[in-house]
Amino acid sequence: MKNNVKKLSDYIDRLNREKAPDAADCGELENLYAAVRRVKSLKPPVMPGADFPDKVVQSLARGIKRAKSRKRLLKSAAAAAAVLAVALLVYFAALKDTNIVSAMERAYGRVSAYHGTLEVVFTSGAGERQVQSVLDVWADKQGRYAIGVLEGAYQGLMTVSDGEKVWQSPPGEGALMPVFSETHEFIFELGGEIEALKAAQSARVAGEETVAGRPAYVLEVTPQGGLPYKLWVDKETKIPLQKEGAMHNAIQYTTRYIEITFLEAIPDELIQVEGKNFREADIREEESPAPAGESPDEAFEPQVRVEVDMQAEQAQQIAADSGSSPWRLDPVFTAQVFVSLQISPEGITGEYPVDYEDFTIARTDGRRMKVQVSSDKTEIKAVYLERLVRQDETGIWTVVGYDISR
Amino acid sequence: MNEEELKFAAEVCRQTWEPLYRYVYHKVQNREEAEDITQETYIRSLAYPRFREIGRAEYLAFFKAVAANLVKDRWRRNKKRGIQVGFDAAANLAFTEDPAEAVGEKMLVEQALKTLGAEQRKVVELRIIRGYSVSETARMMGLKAGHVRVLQYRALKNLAVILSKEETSHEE
Repeated sequence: MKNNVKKLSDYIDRLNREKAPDAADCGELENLYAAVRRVKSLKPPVMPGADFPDKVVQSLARGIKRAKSRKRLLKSAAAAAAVLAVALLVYFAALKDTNIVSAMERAYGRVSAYHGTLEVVFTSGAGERQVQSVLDVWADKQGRYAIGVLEGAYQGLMTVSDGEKVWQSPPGEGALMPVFSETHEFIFELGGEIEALKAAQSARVAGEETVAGRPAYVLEVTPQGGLPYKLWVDKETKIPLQKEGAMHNAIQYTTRYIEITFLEAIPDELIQVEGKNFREADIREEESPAPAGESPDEAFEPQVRVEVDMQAEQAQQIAADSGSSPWRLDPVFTAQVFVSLQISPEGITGEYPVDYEDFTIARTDGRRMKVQVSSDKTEIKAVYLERLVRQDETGIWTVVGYDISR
Repeated sequence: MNEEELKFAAEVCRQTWEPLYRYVYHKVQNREEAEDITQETYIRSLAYPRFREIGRAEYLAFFKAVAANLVKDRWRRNKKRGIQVGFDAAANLAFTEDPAEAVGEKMLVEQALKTLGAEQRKVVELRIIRGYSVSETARMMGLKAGHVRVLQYRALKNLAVILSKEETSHEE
């Protein structure tokens, strides 16, 4: 008590001098300090000097640059560790549960909302890792979320949901932009992860590792349906930090929070879309696309179908996302390469046997395309392409068939 | 930050800094932290990629939400450096933006002060409201400095309990 008597007096002295006080180091002092602040609030605030607004403006140029750099730096595990240590440790009292799943449920029970930086990492079959996107995520337990793309193919894209509807800005004309690899859906929502874990066929603690600088349990999870995956759960707070899907078709995705802070609520401004440049998405339509083969459209029906290796196409999409093979985003060029390879199956050296100008877009609905070929160097008269992996302007085109002259 | 962005930031800052600073000061009750957090709020908010999508009329509300989180973050950080602290106490430090609620909060604290004994109330008024040092307060009250410290400690313990009870009954 004697120590607290002195600390309390020092705290009052610091506030009286308008200086930042030392922190409370126990619950009793925290309550006492709060009482001091409430009493002091009876006095009018001490305003800063007249030059304060100018100082703020001057610091903004330096500070904003620093803040933006910080976002980038957060990709490093060291920086992430520092932030996580601050944000997580203090929010949750140490949980002692031995049953990891129930402990996670209890921990999440204390969360109302959160704001985090989520990193989506792609790993190729060859083991090459690449950050596909960095996302600014705000979410709450009502299912509302606001996700901004900080880095990646859709940088600047904002996806907002009020729990039922989904909006995106800037508004595209076609389907929703895929924020998470191939979907707009929020795939590493903490509550959803815990629910999935509860419903899983099996989940076992397979070991311990450090993720983002935090000691974590590694859970191996086998869901009721789908492929097994791994989940890293913060040892102290019991909050999921990282999820790694199985390597499938030479593609593996890892999503992890490199920064997370728990809030009482999401700022309403982030969820409000009225009067802003947002477009509501028809989710039902997007989630139940009619398979191409079941809704024949003669305009896009080739005489000869080309067998497609979807594994290879997904890998090509990833490559295009990272800046490789940009020609796959150009349907005419893709058609030109296809036709040229039919003429020279051993490969193309030098000029293409059929000129780019000999190809003309005959018909398209944004997802499918028919490219007319006008060359006597090939029997192919039309090439049919589809955006099989992603149905927007960032989706690669794949040749699915062709017509030949009779 | 280019010239156009800096102009925009300066305009937003000049229009909103005063109410934002008052908001932060109300929470932390010292100028040093209030200035730091106000400044940090602008830096964080204006660096937010979609900031310009927020309606102009909503800037202040957005800044306040960011500032509130920065204050909480600071308290959380502080707690981490320490041993173990009840976060609820910090979180319960109510800020009342609504003028009617602000008046209610003021009345609540004044009423709580009245329930203290005369000596305890006096020491709180001299030390916190009037801002005298321990030695000045001791001289004015005819007490030893050590006695003043113990007196203010007991007064604030009582006050914390009274405020907590009054809040509970007020909510009921």
